Amino acid sequence: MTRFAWRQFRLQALIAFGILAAVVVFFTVTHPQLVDLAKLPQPDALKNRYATYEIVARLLLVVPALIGIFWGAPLLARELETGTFRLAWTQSVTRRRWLAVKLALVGGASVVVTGVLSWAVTWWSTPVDHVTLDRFSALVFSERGIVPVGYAAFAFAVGAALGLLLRRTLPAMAATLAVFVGARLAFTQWVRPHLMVPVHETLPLTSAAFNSAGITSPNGPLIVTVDNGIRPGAWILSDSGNAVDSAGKVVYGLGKKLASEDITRQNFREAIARLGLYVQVAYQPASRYWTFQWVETGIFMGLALVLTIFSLWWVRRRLS
Amino acid sequence: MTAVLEARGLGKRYGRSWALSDCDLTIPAGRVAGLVGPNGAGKTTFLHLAVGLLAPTAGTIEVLGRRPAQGADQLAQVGFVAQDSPTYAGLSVSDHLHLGAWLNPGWDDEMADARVESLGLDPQKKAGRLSGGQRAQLALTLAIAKRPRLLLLDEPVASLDPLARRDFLRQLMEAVAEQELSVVLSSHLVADLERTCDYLVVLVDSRVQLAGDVEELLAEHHRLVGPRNGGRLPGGWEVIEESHTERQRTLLVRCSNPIFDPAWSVEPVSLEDLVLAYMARGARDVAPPTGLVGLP
Repeated sequence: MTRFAWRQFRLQALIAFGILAAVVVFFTVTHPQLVDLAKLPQPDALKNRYATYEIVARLLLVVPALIGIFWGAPLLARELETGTFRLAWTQSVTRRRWLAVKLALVGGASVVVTGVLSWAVTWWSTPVDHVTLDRFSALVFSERGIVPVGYAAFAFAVGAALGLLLRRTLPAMAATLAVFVGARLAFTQWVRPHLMVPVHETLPLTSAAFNSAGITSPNGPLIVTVDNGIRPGAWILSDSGNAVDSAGKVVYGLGKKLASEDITRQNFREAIARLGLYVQVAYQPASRYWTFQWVETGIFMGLALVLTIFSLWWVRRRLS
Repeated sequence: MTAVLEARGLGKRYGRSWALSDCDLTIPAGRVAGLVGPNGAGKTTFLHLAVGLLAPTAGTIEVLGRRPAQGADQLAQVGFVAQDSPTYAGLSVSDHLHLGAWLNPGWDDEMADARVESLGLDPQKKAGRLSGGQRAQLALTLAIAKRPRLLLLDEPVASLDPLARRDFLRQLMEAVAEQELSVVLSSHLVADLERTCDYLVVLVDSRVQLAGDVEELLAEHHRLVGPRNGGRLPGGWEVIEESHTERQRTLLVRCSNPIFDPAWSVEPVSLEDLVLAYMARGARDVAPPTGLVGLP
């Protein structure tokens, strides 16, 4: 059965591994440039160069969805749609084994392709990630480490199960995309921030600690948008807040004081920093990065496993 | 006499409608059985139940003494060609033979190759580019080369032109003779079955109307022509079909005893007449409300 499953999957596998090889070659060639640029005192050149190449790393964001749509959804839907399942299921192989082998082979390939790609992207981006320290940001988090593998396994299992349920290729592909994107967005938005209780701290408002700061009325508080420079590499969950004193009380009436100073665009940050204010932040420390990676990967892998068991049950019990 | 296929009270329901109901049927070993009936009679449902593609809603079915598709070894003993002979359009003829070899422990490589060669199929040609007849032959090759004990064919010649149809049936009969196969094949055309089958099952509107050995059935059924008012019919005659003209009365009866009544002239019936009579009777039994029939 394995050989037959491979024969059916061969072309798609070769295309995928071909693209993967090309991407890895591209990373290998461009990586030394990033390493050299990272040695410069100013990070701008490095960031600019990275920005021109980043589209290749972005591939990792769409690869799990593509796997779900093009490997998962048609895997069973096409057999059901064209009637070839009647040929396959009447050979001397039980349909549960038939399905198990197909899922294992193509699902395994999904995991390997995404794993290798993610490892390559993570390695290639290291010089930039060391500078930007933003690997906890929503987009970058899902393009590094091991989570893409979980996404790919999940997308593939969703595609296979929907193909089995809908029995038609195109609707299954569309539904797979919708379910996968929905699940990813919902998880990023509502689940990931709550995986661990965040750390609450009152931190000094240094010049690197905020993106913007301003007052809405002369007697109002100073409203600060916190930058992750306040705790490099951490995931800041509280975006903006009022500036407080060291005891945690909101400070009012800064308008007059700020107005008396000669504030320009250049010295704005230093002027704010000189006020000696604090800001209360909730954040996930950088040290928790791999915990988050493992937990999210585990959850998506678990969902993939549940869907796979469902498919194996369905093909035997319900599809008759 | 052992049975290759035995159904007891077999039924399959889709939603609210029964595609097959209350089916009791025994098909003996070593036969080529024809399953005949109009479109939508439940032939495909019956065959899918027999290969385990479907599970019964009611009753039981045993194929070669076991539940269909119960395990790999049960599957290995039954060959099946589904309607329209599905094949993998993107795979070549030789890929299909590999498929057969990989998926069937009893695969007969020599026979498969010999058949493909004698059919003149190009091994490199994709199955999607074969003609309907070639595809049917390829599917039959796959089903036969796994060396099953029972071969089930669903409308194998429905989409073929007359020449391909004849070739296909001849190839099938050759394989049957060589391998001591039992065969069940369905068709909605009696002519296809006349040349090949020695056992007949008539299925109309989800029910079995008639089943039996073809020769016995032909011996038991007679066409009788007699006077319009010919009096009472003797006991033991089962009238299957009846028609009148002004003076004459024509009956198709089932009667196992010889008929000596001089009032009737007795003629043999053809298989086609027999099947059509039972189909007509089956359709009458489940006729729609009377308001809808008999309008000019």
